[in-house]
Amino acid sequence: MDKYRLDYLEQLESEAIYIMREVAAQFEKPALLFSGGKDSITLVRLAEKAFRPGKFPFPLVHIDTGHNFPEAIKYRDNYVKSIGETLIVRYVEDTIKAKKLTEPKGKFASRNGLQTYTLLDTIEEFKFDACIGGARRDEEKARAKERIFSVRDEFGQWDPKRQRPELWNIYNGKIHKGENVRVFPISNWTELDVWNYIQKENIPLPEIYFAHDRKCVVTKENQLVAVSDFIQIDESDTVVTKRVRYRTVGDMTCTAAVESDASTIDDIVKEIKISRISERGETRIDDKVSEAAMEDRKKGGYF
Amino acid sequence: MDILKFITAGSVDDGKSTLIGRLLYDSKSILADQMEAIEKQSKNVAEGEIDLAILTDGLRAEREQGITIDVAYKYFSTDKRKFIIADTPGHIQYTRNMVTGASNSDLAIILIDARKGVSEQTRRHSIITSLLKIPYVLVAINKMDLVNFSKEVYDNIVEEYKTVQQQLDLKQILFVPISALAGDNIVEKSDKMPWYTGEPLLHILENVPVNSDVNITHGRFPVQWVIRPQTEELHDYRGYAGRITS
Repeated sequence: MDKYRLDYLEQLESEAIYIMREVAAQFEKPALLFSGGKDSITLVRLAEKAFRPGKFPFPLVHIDTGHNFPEAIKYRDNYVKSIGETLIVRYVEDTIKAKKLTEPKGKFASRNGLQTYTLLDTIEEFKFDACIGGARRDEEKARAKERIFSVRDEFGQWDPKRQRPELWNIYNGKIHKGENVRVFPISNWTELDVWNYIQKENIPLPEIYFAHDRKCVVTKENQLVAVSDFIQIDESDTVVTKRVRYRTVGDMTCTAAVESDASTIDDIVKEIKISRISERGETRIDDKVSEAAMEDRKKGGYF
Repeated sequence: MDILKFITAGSVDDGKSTLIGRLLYDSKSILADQMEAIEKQSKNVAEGEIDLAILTDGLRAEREQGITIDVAYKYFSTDKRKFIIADTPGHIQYTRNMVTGASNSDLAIILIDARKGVSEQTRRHSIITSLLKIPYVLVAINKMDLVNFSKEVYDNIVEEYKTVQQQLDLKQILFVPISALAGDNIVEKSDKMPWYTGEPLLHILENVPVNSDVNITHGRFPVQWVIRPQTEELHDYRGYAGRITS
């Protein structure tokens, strides 16, 4: 044998592992942003492939809005324990109190925007110079524009007009003091690629990704939002119990469930293959606000 | 299944973003909610025209000015391949961003406006393609609908481009006459250009050989990271981690 060939999923995997090791080698104080969602879980598996039998050269960091699904938090804590890595959690609640921030009001008021403050404070606290995140370019059109090594200024802000060249597999991690880099190893993966990989690797997931019965409020756009203490339910609202699952794990206030009977990873892969609606379109309530919602959040320091 | 990475290059308004929109649209990779958003923003919906470029121009400044400033990456798959498209800017001042998109590509689609022929940007992008040693160049002569699908116009541009080719080290070049806006010769062969005997654009993209083989006879192993667990049981362990290149 003098040649070997990687199939498409192995090529994506190889690229992602390479990027992880570049981060470890180029930066002083990296971190991996871990939410307990499928994309960051995939990152953790890739990190295991990149660094085992050693420990990860970075901690896992979760910015906890306090509005998470309890299943996701339970999964997060168990999973981190099972792989024997360090988890740092910082709470949006604490930032709100310390900085006297105003919480957004309204029916499905989301702390998604406030997360940015806590993230920037956490970066400052630990002097992180690189944060690895599970964002993918197929998710959203502002993300489609971002480099794999995305430099942020001292305020954490992304300036799309000043992106650096990024040639071949040469990733430039040189930054000025105070700046930091957001690194996206699975930039080139699509939602289906992530599911195919989870299936291939048999990675355990939080149970909310699989079909279950749940009480939900039906929104004006016909999205299903889980009944919880964090949303405001009015008398005029229709509350229904449906067989649902989540295509993405965000806050309970801004993530919609999808009706589904898919109870295994194989079922989910089948479902995603024939879906005619995008992941964010089907499940995120916060992107519908404006055409440039994501671009604006990124410019403000969002990951 | 393998992956083909390609860029779309060419001058401003040669229709790069429209071509990508067309490829995504015809391969059914634009999902219902994305389509709805595009229709909402298209200016000429009343006349039945949707602006597919909106799909890739992801920044506010791009949409305001109607130009592409930085590379946008888009993904689609057919039964044969996964495709990664880098939609690169045509403006001369954003050429550096075009290079970023081009550096990882297996193929470059260079668009030429049939009404204008080979332009300065066509030459510039061809030079970069040659410098970066992108294996394949697909010259797509676009907006054929605006020159009455004329074979003569097409032939003249092919001849003109061949002089560019001779000056550069470009080996594998294919030509295809298209209309990205109307969808001629994109997925299906166009009945408006019976004189064109080649394959439609998507067929070429699906079948061009890509070399994803790693040569390990003469392999090189750049070490990125040394794994040292320093635990009880793996006391003296040193693992050299990296990716084989050839």
